[in-house]
Amino acid sequence: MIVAVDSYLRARDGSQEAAAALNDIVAAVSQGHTSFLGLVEQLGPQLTHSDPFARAKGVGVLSSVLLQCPPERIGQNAVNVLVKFYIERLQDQPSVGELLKGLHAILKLDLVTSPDAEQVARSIFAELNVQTYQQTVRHAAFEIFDLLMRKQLPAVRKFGPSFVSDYVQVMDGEKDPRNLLLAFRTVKLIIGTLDYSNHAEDLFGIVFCYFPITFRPPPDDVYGITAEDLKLALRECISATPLFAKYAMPLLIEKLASISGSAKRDAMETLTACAPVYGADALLPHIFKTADDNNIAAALASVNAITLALSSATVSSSSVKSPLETFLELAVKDSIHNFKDPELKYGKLTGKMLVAAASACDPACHHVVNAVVPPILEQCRMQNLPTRQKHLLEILVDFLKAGQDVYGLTSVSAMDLDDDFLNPILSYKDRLFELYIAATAAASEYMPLRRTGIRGLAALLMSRQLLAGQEVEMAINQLNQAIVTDPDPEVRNEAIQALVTFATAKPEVVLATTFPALFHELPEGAGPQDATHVAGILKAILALSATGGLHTRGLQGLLQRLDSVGLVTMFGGSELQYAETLSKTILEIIDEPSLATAPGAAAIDSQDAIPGLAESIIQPVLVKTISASLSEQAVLLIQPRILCVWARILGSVMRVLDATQQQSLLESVIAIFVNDEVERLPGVTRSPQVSFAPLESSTPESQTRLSVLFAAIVCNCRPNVSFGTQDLPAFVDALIVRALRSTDAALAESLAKCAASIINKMKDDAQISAYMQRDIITSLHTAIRDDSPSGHSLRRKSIYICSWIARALIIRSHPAGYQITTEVLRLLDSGEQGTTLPQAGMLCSKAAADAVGIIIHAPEDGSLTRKSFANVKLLHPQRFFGHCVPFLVQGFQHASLVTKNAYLLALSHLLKNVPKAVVSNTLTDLFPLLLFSLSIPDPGLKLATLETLQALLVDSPPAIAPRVSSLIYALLNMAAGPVGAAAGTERDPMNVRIAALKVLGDFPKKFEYAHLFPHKVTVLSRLNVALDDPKRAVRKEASSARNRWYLLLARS
Amino acid sequence: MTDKLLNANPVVYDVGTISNRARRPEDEDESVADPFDAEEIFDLIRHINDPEHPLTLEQLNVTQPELVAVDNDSSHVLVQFTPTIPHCSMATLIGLCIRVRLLRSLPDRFKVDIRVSEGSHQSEHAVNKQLNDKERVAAALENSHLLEVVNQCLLTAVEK
Repeated sequence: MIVAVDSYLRARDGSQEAAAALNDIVAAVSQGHTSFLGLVEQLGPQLTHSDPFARAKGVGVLSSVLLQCPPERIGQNAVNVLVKFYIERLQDQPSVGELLKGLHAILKLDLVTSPDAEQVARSIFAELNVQTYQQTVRHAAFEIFDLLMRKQLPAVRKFGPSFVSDYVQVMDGEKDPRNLLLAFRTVKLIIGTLDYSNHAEDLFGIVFCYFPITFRPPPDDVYGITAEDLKLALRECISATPLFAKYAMPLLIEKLASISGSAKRDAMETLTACAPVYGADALLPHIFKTADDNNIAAALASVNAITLALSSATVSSSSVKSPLETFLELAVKDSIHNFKDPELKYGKLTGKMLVAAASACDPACHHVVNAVVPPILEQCRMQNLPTRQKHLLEILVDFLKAGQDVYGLTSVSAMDLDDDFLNPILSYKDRLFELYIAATAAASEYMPLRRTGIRGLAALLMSRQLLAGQEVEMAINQLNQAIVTDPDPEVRNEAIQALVTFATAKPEVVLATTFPALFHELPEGAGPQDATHVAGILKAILALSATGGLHTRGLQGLLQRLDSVGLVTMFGGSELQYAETLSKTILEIIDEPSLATAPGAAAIDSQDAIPGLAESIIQPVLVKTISASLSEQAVLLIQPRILCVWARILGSVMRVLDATQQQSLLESVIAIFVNDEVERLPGVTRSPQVSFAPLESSTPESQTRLSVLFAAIVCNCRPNVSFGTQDLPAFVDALIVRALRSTDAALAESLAKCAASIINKMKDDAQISAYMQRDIITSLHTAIRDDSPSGHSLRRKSIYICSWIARALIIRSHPAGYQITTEVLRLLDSGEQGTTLPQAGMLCSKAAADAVGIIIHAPEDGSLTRKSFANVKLLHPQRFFGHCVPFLVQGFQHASLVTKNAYLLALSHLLKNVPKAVVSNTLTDLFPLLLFSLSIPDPGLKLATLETLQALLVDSPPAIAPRVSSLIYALLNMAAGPVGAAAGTERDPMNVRIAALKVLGDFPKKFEYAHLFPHKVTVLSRLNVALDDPKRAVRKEASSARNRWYLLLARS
Repeated sequence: MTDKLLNANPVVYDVGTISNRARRPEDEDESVADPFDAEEIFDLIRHINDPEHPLTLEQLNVTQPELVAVDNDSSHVLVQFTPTIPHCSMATLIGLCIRVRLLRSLPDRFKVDIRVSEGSHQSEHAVNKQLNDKERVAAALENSHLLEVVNQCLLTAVEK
């Protein structure tokens, strides 16, 4: 025995001899050869040795024996003595590890008395700073606490709450996963058994600081602890008590918004684990008190997630309520009283929360709806205050939407959904339907209530399983009624939206009931009494027709109404306006992108596709307009305003036709308009001596105005449509000659566009170059250069026609286009030369500036753009801009004050039509021009520049930043008038003032504080003048700009 | 914001999404001057945020168009507001926000009086006195923390 002890003490730590000797000692004690106290005696000198490590070794022998010997061999007395001994030695730092091991062993023996156990804990708390020791020591400490919690509860209880705070100290800073697993287990035990209410926050803090767990086990891990183990242990702690709720909820909700997927999932799962424990009490305040919409959304999402997660939790026994029920019951119980005052803030949010829960799954929906809807309905019955009713009904709308989420929309085909699940709202449907119908009825004065009524009907209509055939009809009729009669535009819009949505599900119902009701409101044969009413109805028809499937009937109805007023000769402003709005609505339906891309795809039968409508639209309109113009009756249909819209309609119809259809149409149109073969159109009546020549300048204006229709057909041809047997260049020549001769602006424009469009669509560049050599082009060039007084009218016309041809060439990047452009740009300074006829010179400068506009601007009717199949090269605006800028900058520098305007005008056309990024690249060159344009009286130029500045501010503030100072003063002069201006001085028009203020108001958002700071005092005081502007719209901008400058300065 | 809101669960009023001012043809006419009116002043203050809630003063019915009076000729504006509860300690702050907003948005010829509407606050007199004392308002705005709070409340109004 003594030999064994000696050899152990002499052996090196961890060596084989040491292990063997220890085994001998343990065997001796457990087999009774030596008593335990005998061993202690033998170790005596060692235990009091002066070398601390020798002492530690001695303790180690004892602890190992304690750990391995059967308890009866040690005996109660020895234990009592040993505990005291161990506790006393705790101050001996090097031995602490062995001491704790021994204490752990003793505690395990079940022989320790309660006071001793208490003393153990007390000494550890008092003597040891656990976190300063190595992992094995800390592990032993945690093992001791774990044992104490499990076996010595009475002793621990004597501590009272201080045990918790002391334990928090011990655990604070622990990092080792092995220790943490133990520590978490102890925390859970503490929560389960001790009074920790005063230390809940500390306890929570010490636990939650590990959330979310990001532990990844090292590759050679032998302990087998996974992140999942830790997560579970931690989650059990967090979800152990409702007292944690108020600390955990905000943090968990914040973590829900985390970017890391695993953190998010962890937060979600933890929330789900916590929800049944924390109860709705804890959840609600976070939904109510959240300061911003993002948090509300996150909170609602978590409610939804919790509900969904709980619904999949299985019930362990039939007597116990499922966790889902427990959770929902709590949620409902805690929130239902909020509905008593539905207009309070909580009322709304409660509704939202319950809806979020209900929309999670079928059982939840049943539970919540059955619990909540009846009391809300009861409230509705008792409350007849419209404001309250409105809020309650709004909450019910949300429940209907939750039902849609769970049970599907009307539009989804029945095949895709399971009819085993019944929408719980079905039981309350009748009452709901009644309520919404009543709310919608015009009798209720309160607009938001009517709006909610409409939303309710819309939600009912779109919910599967809810409304039966007759009810659907009633609901639709109510919506129709609202569109037709409701005085409030918001309500009408809501109703239109409801019908549009329903039309995607059941177009036939809308077709059968809504369209007749709407068309009933459109008068026939005369203008409407109330133009705004008709405009509203047309808006509804347009919205519905755009949904597909309904456009045919919409167009038919509109065309029929238009016919009824089109041939009226006695008409006033209201009829003209009516015809124009009807025509514009037709145009918008045809232009609806959803119909053009998928013609007839959603239509009831495929013949309704737009191309099929060509005949029904183009042919009749040509017949009617031509007849009218031949008979020289000033009927409504051929008023220029109406014809202009119809030209657009013909253009749109042309674009959806294919090449063969276009070909035949084009042939007959050329025959009719050029060769007077009106007989091709059956139904046109004319007296024999009258000829139809709308493209000749000699014919009366009533015929030439039809040239816009001709242009609409010609300009929208596909490139492979041929102009028949005609000699194409000669045909174009003829068009140009006619344009040159015409005195009518509309005719000239139509003809020039036609010519330009044909040139643009010529097959190859060589063909174009050949055409550009023809006499007619040469003579145009000569006319442009001719600055003799007699030629100036022809000169301007030539510039006009040339600019159209130049556009045709520039957009397909043909070099000839740039030749013409250069020629035209040279004319910008003709104001200088024409000393004999200054007026004519100025006009020529202006014509040249306008030519730049024609070249770069894409016409609204779509001709000479991609829409009308023109040959358009990428980046042509950039190239053109680059071509023009040097001319403009140089010309501007040398120009006199009078002609500077022409340069600026040309520049303003460019600025309006090229991408702003291009402008910002050349800003250094252009800036003097821009600044100058802000100081001249012409409001058009100022507006163009201000618009450019605004766009530049959005895209590239750095380009402007260095020039801020000079700009600010120019802007202030426009916004508030020049400094010290006399009272009667002419101010800039209001739209210029508004635009200047807008730019000024954008500055604080776009520029560094340092750039603006020097101007702060001036800006604020000068804007004070603008605050007193006579026009309200200007004041509004001024106050907004000034407030922004104030806020900017507050940032300092 | 403190944990305990003074009035955590206020009544939320429905407000129109669009300005209720009817458009008139003369709005575009340069030669017709538009006088300041109550609605214009109300438009300036309706979107100010409440210091406690993410709701506007209009939504809480603190400001109402009927409680704004304008006299163009004598350049005088009177704005009254109604705190949501009579013991609201935020009343002065709300008043200060309105005051600052109008200081920045109205020409300086106007004298602006801001009051708590009669009987709506228990220390009505004190609040009124504070809000209409030029020096005290100026002193309040010297306090950078307070100015920060005010600017925060005004942010929503400016961007409308």
